[in-house]
Amino acid sequence: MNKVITVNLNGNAYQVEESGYVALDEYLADAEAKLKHNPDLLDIMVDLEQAIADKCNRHLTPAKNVITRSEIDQILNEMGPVEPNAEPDMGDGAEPQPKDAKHERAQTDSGAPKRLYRIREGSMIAGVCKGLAAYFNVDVTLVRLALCVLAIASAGALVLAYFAAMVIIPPADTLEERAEAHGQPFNAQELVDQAKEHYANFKKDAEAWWRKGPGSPDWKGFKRNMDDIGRETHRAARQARRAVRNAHWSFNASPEIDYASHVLTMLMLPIFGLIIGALTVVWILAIISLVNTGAVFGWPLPVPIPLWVAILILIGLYSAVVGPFKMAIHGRGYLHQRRYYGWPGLLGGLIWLGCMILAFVLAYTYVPEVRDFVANLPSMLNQIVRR
Amino acid sequence: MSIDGKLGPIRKGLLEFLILKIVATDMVYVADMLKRLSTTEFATQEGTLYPLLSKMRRENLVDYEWQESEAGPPRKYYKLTPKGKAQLVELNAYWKQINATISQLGN
Repeated sequence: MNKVITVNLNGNAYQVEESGYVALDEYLADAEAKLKHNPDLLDIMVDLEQAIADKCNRHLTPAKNVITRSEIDQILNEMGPVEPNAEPDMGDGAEPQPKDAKHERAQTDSGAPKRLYRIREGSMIAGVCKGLAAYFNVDVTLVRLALCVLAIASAGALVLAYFAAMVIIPPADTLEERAEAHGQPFNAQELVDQAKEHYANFKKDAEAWWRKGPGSPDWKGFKRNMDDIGRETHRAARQARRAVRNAHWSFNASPEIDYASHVLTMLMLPIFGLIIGALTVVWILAIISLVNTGAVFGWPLPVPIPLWVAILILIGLYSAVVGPFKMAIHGRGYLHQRRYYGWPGLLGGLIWLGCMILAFVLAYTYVPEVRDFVANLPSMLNQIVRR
Repeated sequence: MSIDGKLGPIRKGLLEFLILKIVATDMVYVADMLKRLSTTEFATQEGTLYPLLSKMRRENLVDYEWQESEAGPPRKYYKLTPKGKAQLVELNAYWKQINATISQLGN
């Protein structure tokens, strides 16, 4: 009796004897290693898996649903060892590969450049301790304990230092930065795996759909999709590989400028925080005065609308005004894997707000329906409430 | 060096030429190509052919399209691109020239 392992070959499940699984896994891992520098790695791996799956099918009958070890051996023998072919632009794939592998390992050992970041994942307050722990490679609990003891010993001075650090040290938000915080080279393997999984899932879905038959009207579109997805996967793989290459580059070249601008924006953020706080206080006071007097700071409502609508409008106004500042603090959008913080974020937010207002003003000025709608809104709302 | 050690690289170098020839005759998928080569001295395997085809596709010599099969998922059927056709013409001419040279030099 042999243990059986279910494997996924290009989106189809096959049951393979355990020792056969080991051989299969070795074959595919070897193929992947040999084709490491091939830009079509994912494409070829998918092809190889599919070829193996086709050969497996030949060994399966309704009465036999497990592939044995000897059958796997036979299949792999038929497949033959994967031969990386000579590439004019990158030399023979077989040659530079072991050297490169060694080179990468050396990088990991020597340690990629480290930077002090705040790590907010799993942090207690702002991630300063976690960042320090990662930087000095010690347990975060020890850092926290030391901080507590020193905070008491220094009569609270260290607490101030903590807040200063919170403001000055930038948070590690991107994958790259997190890797930098730990001093690890940024590894895009996850990206590659994700792309692969995405492709496998897609193929599985697509095959289920395909089994409906070539007669279905979706059939042509499906083939087109297959091509698109294939190309997309290809592109994703290339991007991932480029990311790996750039990671080394960016660690060595660009962080100086980025780090400095990060620190600068971190200094700006408390100011935005204060602005948001002030706006919140004004907003709460406005709501209180509205509820108490039916007017906002003595300004009566321009049109008669129910109280709850006025409050809703106030909430909407508040989020519209505060939005840009929040974007400045929390970052808005990505540029080269980096979030915009501080001024760029504020600017983005203000532009967004400006566009919204401009769109409304234009619509109000040039579209009579919009004007009618706005004019009728109070009476409409009053009717709804009365009903 | 054994005789096979000398013939291996020759076969390997000619494989791409033969693939161009096979793909030129008809739209084929990988199993067809393997079958057609299996009875010749150029018999090869998936492990060699897939990387070679991907390289040829990158060099814009061949392209593939998906086609349904009676059983199992759709397959990649390969065909020559104009560049592939041009290269095949060139290779054919060169091959004839080599043959002529070899026979000219006598036995």
